[in-house]
Amino acid sequence: MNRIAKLTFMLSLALTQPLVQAHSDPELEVHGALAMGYIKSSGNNYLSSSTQGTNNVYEVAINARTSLTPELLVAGQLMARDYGTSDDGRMRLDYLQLDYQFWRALSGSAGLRLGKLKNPVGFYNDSRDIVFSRPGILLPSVYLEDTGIRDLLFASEGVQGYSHWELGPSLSHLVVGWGRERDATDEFERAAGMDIGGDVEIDDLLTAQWIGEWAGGSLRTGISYFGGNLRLRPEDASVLPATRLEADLWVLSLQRLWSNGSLTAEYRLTEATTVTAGSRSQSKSDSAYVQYRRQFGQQWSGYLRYDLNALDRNDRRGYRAEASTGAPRYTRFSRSHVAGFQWAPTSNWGVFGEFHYVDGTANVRAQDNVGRDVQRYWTMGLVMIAYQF
Amino acid sequence: MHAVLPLPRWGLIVLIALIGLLSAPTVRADDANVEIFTHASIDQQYLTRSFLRAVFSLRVRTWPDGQPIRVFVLDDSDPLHIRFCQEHLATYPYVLRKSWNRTSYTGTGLLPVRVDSIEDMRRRVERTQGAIGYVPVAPRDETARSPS
Repeated sequence: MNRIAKLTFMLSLALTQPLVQAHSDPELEVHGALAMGYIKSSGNNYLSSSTQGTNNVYEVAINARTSLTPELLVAGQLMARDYGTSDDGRMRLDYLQLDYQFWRALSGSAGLRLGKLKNPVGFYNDSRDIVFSRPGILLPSVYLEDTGIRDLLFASEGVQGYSHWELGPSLSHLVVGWGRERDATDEFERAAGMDIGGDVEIDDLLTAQWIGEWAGGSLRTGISYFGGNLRLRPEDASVLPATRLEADLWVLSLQRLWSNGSLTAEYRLTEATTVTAGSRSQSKSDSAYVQYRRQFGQQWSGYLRYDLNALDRNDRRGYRAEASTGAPRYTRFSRSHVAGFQWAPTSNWGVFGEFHYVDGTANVRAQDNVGRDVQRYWTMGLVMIAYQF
Repeated sequence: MHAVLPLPRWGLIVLIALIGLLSAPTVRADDANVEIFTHASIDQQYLTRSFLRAVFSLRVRTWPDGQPIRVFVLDDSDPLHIRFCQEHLATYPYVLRKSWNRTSYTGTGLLPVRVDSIEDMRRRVERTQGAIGYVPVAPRDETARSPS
């Protein structure tokens, strides 16, 4: 989608806003969002092949839902996303689900979902593609935003059971899901930035999340699990051996809300076992962030985030990797200091800005920096304008 | 190659932005009280604070008796909406908005219908089966029904 087409689409959305808002037929709801952005980095290329800046950043989503019966909801979303070199802007089916809520009472509810489903990991994974429902323009590294494997984490085809219930002063939310085997060759090749000469399949996908709320929702905590196997079957095993990756991902979440602000902290631990050519190796990586967001009235908010990302939990400063491989140790971690703001003149419009000052390059993609030395200290500025209806 | 550290320039920009944020005006709720307003078919025993939170955060789609829930709200910045969030849900408009955005982009519920005025709210709620909204407290208005 070129820039003129994007502007035309945005203008048409704005002009149709009164019509959309006047449409209140409860039988069919149609909503969507469009966002355009600009990224400029210094020191290292980020989601671009240069530091000159890229406006090749947009998100377009349109979703619809309808109640077939009061208990049965069907919903789907089409999404196109382009984020420099990490996504290609192709339109894809984001989710399509049947949701049957079979139990409801004053103290809780429960149901089943079937179809292509969002995976609930942390507070934000299942709504990560739209800037309005993220904690900032870029997600914290807990969500593997920079790795290019977002699609693997984002959604799966399968079934989920969910429930929420009150117990004393607390409210609990539980989601448990299973995903069927599927081909992930395209996503994996995009993440690797190369043709891998074979097929990649994902199977044994399991997800589980519990979130507890206290004090009327002003204190939230949660634990999420996401696990699965990734199998690489090369066309020529003499060039690339068959490989199986067993991954377990855990996320701990904590959030405190006030009338004028919130404090959020999350921690991710990823354990991976790689089996290739008869050998077996294990690795652990982890990431954490803390973010304070302050509301300034209804329209303005600002936030500060400190984000840590380590590719090896047992070598967070990278000394061992530097000694064994010779690679600079700062390629093994990233420590991001982030300041951002959001201006929402109406509930439909949002203008976002974000600045990153980063120590380390663990969140810099190698394929964006081919033929150049990466810099330990680097910066990034992002702006985004978005409309939802 | 040496490390690039253009922090002072960017730092100045961030500082200016933060000063701008700090000077932004704060929207406050006015002093009008607000009460729940439902379609006549809704059993008032359902209107507990915890169930209202479930309804307005879109976690439930039907009333306990099976009627589909239809939620009507004013704009986020409307003082009555702010008051309603504080008094009846013990939450904040920005939190509710985040919750609705999440619902929209995960397809897990039906979104509230936004109305333009209190009169519109009354008219739409009265005419819609299973509807719920809110209105200013009006002691002599017998059509308004509030939880016990």
